[in-house]
Amino acid sequence: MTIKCKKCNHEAIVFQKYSGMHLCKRHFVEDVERKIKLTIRKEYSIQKNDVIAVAVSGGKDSSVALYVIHKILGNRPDIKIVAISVDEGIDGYRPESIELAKNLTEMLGVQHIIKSFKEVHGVTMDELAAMDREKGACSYCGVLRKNILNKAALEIGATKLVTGHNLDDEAQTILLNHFRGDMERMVRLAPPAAVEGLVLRAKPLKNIPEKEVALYALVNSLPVDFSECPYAGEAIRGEIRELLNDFEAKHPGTKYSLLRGFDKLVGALAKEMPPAKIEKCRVCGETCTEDICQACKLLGRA
Amino acid sequence: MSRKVHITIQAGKISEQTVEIAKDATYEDLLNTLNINQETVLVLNGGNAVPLDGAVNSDKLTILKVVTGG
Repeated sequence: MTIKCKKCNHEAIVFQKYSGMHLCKRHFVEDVERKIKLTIRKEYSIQKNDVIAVAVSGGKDSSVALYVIHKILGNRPDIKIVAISVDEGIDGYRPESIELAKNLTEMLGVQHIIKSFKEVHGVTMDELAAMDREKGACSYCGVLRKNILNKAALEIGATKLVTGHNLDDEAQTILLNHFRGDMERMVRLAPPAAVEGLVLRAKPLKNIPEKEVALYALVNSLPVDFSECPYAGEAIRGEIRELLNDFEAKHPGTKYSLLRGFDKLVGALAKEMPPAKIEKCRVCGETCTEDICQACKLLGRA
Repeated sequence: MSRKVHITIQAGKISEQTVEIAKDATYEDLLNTLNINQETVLVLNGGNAVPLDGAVNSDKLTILKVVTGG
């Protein structure tokens, strides 16, 4: 016995516990794209002549982000879409996924810029990971990658920088910030205001559960990689992910609830906590909120 | 009544195992038996995704681990 789609008579490929719907391939794809369009319209209004940089690693999330942005906006003659990849220098992991990212950008006919830690920061992630260090590998990787993405996006005059953050990522970050009592970081998670020197970040997949991002990549036969970063084990995020997934399985809709609650909370929170003062790093000149930017601090340039 | 299902698990590397489930078990029951969280995987029957509340109707399935760290 097969289960039928809620919207037509075709065979369902997915059951969304949180909505109670069974969907076939066509209606699942429609549902994902509808949510993404709604997120973009509500939070990241597209302007005439936008240059949209999309950070692409070759993993499922960023590949789906690029694919959908291209599908929705690719035929607008006034809008330019450019993919940016960062090779962190993680042997046995990143070179393979960047090849997949190249396949995708070639397939879509999207310009593709590739930068590396080695060329920009003078050191690979493998070298950093092997060093005597204070913080987890992910802290270095995240800060240094975002630094390169912002620089590269500025260089091409990008007006938006799209990342593949999905619902699970967002819900995990909200929970993590609560657990740490870090409300400054919580405020920073809100849709950002334009700041000179920082390209506006956009997360069009923030309302799509991670599992559905994967299913979307699968049914559209996107060239993606499901392998795991060799350094991923260090992050506390893994514990939060497990906790949240256990809760979601028992109480469907928990991830969406966390996001909805946060959306209501963050406006009030922002009033209590004015945004940090914007400064230029006195070492490298990057826009940041302190005297010296995180990247320079981590690389010991100060 | 129980029956055997051959499972291929793809999680970076590939592993295989045979698991015994109840005759009327759903994919969700199967994942619970394997102690795999349903939020982290897709279940494929002949390469196609299946809704997890459906009854298992194949003796050969692939579990694709899609939620990874990083």
